[in-house]
Amino acid sequence: MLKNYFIYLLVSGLVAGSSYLMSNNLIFTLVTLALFLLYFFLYARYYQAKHIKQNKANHDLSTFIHDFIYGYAKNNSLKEGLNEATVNVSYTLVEHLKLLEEYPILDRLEQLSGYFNSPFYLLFLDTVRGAHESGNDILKSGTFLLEENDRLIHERKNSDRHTLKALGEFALLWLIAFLVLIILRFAITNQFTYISTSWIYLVGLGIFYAFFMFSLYLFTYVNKRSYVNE
Amino acid sequence: MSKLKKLFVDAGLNIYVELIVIAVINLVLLASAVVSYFFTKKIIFIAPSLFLLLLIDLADLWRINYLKRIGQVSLVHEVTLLFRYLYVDLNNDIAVNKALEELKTYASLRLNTLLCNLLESKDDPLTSYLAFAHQFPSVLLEEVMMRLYQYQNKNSKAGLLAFNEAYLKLKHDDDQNSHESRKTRFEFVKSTALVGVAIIVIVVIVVVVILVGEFLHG
Repeated sequence: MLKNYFIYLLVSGLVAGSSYLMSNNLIFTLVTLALFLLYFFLYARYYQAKHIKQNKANHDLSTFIHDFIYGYAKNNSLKEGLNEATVNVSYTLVEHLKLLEEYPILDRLEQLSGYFNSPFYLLFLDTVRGAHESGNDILKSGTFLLEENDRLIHERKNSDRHTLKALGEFALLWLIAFLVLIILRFAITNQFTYISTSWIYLVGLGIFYAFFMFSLYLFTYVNKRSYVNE
Repeated sequence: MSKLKKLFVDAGLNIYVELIVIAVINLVLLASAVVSYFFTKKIIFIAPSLFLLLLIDLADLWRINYLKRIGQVSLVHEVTLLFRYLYVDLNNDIAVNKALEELKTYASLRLNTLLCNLLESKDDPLTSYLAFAHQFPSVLLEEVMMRLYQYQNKNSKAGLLAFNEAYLKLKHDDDQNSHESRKTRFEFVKSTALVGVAIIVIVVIVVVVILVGEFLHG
């Protein structure tokens, strides 16, 4: 999280620096700096924390399902399945399960649907209930579930890699855009003092920085929608 | 249902709210055009308001069509994810009708309506299964419903395997589509940097033209 704060401050500082270079106006620069700091520390930070929490829950879900099915298959017992499933999960989930110790195993699994809050967990419940009631081999009933689980783990890793790559490309393109901005500034050096006082120029510059912030928001929004979470 | 109302319903929008919002925006912009003319007495000053009005109306129409398109794609995605439960239940030897009934527990409101229509239909099973499939823009789903009907009719292992194969094809296709649409969304976001460059170049050009104009007119 500290690394993210450093990035937020760095980007806000660089944007404010470029806005001062382009406008020669302290008020404009301070307003730009304040808006970007607000955006990063109010919205981006909240979204980042939510993303980390979701990541942890997804990791718990995949590990829980995988270990439960193999534990159940090995000993043909729901209790053993649950014991195996809690070995590699987070402390939060283990503590949550301790609160449900008085309930029968199937009821405990039902209660966990509130914790995971995922349609994929409901599919897991359906599979376990179906296999338990029909007496079928859980590995046979759970083949599709295990394949889906593996696919989701693989997709999430791919999605993270793809997001990092997209972020790198996004940052590079905007860096080039800012470079063009700075080149234009030095190209009109002789007339800059006069141009910087023009309200049309300041409004246009404001639109540019507002659009950059909108673009950052759009990236976050698209990333949120693209995250594999079933 | 009129064509206009169907467009809004397919896009998942409330027609009355959308029409009110568009009407208000149009009225405000028309009023600002009239006020600009009233104060300046020059026709040219109504151009920005009319241009903005046209831009907003076109953007809104594009937005509605876009929402309709992604709504249909997301409906296929929704039904593909929902049919995972059907897949698991049928492979756990649960009867087709019971498995379809259980789907209602996991389905969203709009899919629930379609499932209810399917289960309560008085037509022969094949017609109702195909009618269900035709609600979605997916040929693979039609094949899944046909295999489901065949399995229900014959109740054989081969029928179940055929359904499994058809469903897995649909699932794979949906996964590919999801992956492609993720890529496309990121490509679109990356292109905003070019728009940013265009904004600043246009601003500088406008300012320089004004400067030159002022210089020439002394």
